[in-house]
Amino acid sequence: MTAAAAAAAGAGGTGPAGPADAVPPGRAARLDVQVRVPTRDVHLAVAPRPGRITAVIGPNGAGKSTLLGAISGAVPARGSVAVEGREILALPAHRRGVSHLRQDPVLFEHLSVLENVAFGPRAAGRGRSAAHRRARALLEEVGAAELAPRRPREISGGQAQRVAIARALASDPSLVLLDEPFAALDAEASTHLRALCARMLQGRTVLLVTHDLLDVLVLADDVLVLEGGRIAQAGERSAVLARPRTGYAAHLLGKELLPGTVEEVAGDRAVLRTRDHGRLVAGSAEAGLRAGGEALVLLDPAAVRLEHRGEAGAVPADPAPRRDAPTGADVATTHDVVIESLDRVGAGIIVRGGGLAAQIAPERAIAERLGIGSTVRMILDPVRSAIYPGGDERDPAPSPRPHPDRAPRGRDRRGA
Amino acid sequence: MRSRALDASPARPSRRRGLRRLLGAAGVIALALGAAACAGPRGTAGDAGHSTLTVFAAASLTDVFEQVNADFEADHPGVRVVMTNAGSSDLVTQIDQGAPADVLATADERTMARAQELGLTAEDPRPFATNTLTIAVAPGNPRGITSLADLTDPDLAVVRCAAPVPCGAVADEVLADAGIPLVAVSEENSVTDVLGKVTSGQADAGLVYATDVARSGGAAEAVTIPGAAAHATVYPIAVTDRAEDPELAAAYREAVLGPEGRAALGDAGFGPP
Amino acid sequence: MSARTAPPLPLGVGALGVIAAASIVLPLAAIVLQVPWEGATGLLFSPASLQALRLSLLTAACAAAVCLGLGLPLALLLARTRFPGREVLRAMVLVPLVLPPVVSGIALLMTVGRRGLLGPLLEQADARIVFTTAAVVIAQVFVSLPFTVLTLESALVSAGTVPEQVAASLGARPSTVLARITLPRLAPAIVTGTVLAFARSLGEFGATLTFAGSMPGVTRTLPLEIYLARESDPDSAAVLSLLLVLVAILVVLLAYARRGAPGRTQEEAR
Repeated sequence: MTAAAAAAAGAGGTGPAGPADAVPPGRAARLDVQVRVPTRDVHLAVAPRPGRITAVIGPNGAGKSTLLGAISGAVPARGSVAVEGREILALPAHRRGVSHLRQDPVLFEHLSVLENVAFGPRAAGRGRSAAHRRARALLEEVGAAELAPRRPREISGGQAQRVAIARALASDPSLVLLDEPFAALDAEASTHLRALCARMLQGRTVLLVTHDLLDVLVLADDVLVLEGGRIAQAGERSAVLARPRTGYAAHLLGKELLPGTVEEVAGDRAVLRTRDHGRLVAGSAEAGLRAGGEALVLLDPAAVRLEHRGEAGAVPADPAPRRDAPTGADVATTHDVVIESLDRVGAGIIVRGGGLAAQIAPERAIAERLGIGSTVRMILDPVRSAIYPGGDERDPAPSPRPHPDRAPRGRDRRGA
Repeated sequence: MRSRALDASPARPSRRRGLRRLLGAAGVIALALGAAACAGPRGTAGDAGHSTLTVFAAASLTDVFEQVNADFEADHPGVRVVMTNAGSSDLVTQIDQGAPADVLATADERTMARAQELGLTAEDPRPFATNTLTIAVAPGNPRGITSLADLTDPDLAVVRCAAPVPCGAVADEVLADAGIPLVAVSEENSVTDVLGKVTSGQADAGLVYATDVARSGGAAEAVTIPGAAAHATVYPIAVTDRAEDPELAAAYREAVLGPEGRAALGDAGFGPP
Repeated sequence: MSARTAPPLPLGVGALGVIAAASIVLPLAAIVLQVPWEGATGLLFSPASLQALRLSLLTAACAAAVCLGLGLPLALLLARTRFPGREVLRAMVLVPLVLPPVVSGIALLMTVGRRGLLGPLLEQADARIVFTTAAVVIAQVFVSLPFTVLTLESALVSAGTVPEQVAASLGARPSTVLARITLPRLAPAIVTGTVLAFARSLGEFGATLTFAGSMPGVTRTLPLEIYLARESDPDSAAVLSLLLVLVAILVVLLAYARRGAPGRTQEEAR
């Protein structure tokens, strides 16, 4: 996703010029970021597609909020942030034309809702009535028109976030930054607001930091994955979610990702030896694999069968036929592991052990008394496991390695 | 982990509570003792051969009475003289409010008269010194002031005592006598403040007593006011109605009136009574 | 906020609270009770006391305004910027709180008095500060400024800067942010800081006497008038004291009538 590709793909519209060295307001603004924040060990170079919503995901401490802060001016940074080719890093925050929306709407308590939304236009020099007209129009769009005369303390959290969105857009920013905007809302309010944002942010260049898969699915065009202050993966949403290269992204999707080296490749099947446990895992091979090369295997826990070892006569019915399996197929699909953790996903339980994961129904976990320390057999389905190349020179961080003082073991689950 | 509720046995809570009450009581006692200690030292008569004599004397008598006190202590072994100095009016108010004074010496007769009216004196006051008003100027008299009339120069910053204060009343009399309509830049509450403004250079001249200039150790010079002697202040001394040891107090009064006292007063610039 | 009541305090706190309240209320009540009421009105409205009262109110109001004008920028600097020596400056701003007022007066003399640091400059300009009403205001400002700065600075620190950051991201210049966001949020603390400065200035005595002198109508404020009255007429001193107490109570009530506890930001005041 180079800047050239972005320019070709993007709409790149610019509006009329504003005051001397302020960034001209526009909707699909080009953005080029190359920032370093040494105090937080963040070093990023990214050029999101103009006019698109780019989700920024990653474990806690990966640098997502730092990236937003560097662009908005809240965090001092070195390097370059160029909007429409104009360098804004040297500009004070109020001349950057960047709106920053957080979990907390931070409405101005001493102003009415209308005056809050009109704040941006008035600060830009518009007359009071003109600013109020624009404010009313935006409140209408976000469905909060009747709240105009009220004070922030009189409205609910969901309503306040609507007003905050209207306020952020009222000054027609070049860039919109959203930092977990729906995290503080209940499911119903966040659903409504998510739909609202999808509509209102059409055609704008937006960076959206989130831990919520729903945000990514509903709003994002592209996805940027950060880890340890660096970019771990970037691309169109479908590409990133189909073939994640980070443990975080895999977990967000409810999958499991294991790095390793290719043991052998045969047709559309391959066997990978995992780096962390030395296990052999069989899966369907993607293009570009070669024996001895670095690769990643993406497992779907829902496709992994679990047998509780040690339970009398509990051997399941015959496993799926493996006709095209490479040699040593049994070793590559069947693993005995000790359960290390249990997590809930949706309506199921994910059992993790030895680097592998299987999904089972809660009733089964209860009935078979599965717990930490139990020995189980996990049987993988090669058809549902994908092995694809990792360690590509195009990828800045081929295998996600846990950073000692980042989130524990680099594993961060959605909604955490 | 069992809850603390399970651990508490009947004996333990009451012991803990008892200890806390004891500490609380000790704290209150400590506070009271502290407060009492802050109240200040009190004269203790007949304390194993030592007796204390408390003298309340006007501010202008501070230095000279220290000499008098030293002489008195030398003449009366076992006696300790404790002196409090303040504006005469303040002293009377304090005694009226219960301060323990054995002897009172004021800087004017009017204040002593008030003390008498309030029944604070045990006898008729006796004059022991006089003080004359004079003009204090900076050493070397840079402004060349020679008389009261010079003080009316609008360029000069002149300070004096406020009228209600004894030295202010005297100043009023002296100025009226000389027919000088003096406008000062400040009317202070005490003659010490007046002198202070002159010695610090804030004022060019001040109306103070001769003894104040004498006491300044060269920080100020005096310009005599002819005719001021006619309005000299008389300093009276009297034993109070609450003297612990009236005989001792009377002895002190006599010491002040006697030759030793007179000599010390004369050295300090006071005139004879 | 919820209407829940706070959990009960231990009994000892209540007892100590009563003692504390008594230590303040009793002396004030004593003045009221022991004032000689016949002739009191005559004393209260005598030209000298009215003049002193007028002077006190005028100078205290000026001083409070100056304290706000100087204290607000200083508080903003201390709370919202970083510069070498900031901690030292903050400590020094609070020094007049600890100094005996007379010492403050001496310090002022040593600065702008005849023989002070700036004395020669003032002589050249044929200006004199000591013994003028301006000196009274200066003395009052010197001793009251720490109250204003302290109140404003702690309010600024606890209020945080997030709304200001948001305002900046919406395009507001620093001056706009200050005028439309920071100051309105600070309003309760501004009132408190100004009232404290006014009250402290009203009662200021030691520095005024030492630095400004005592001339009726020029520099003899009500506390100085009371001090002088003690010399000749302790009764009138009591009456004038009562006057000062009543004015002080009135000021405090007016300032806190609507607000409740002082020093909170707008958000907390909800």
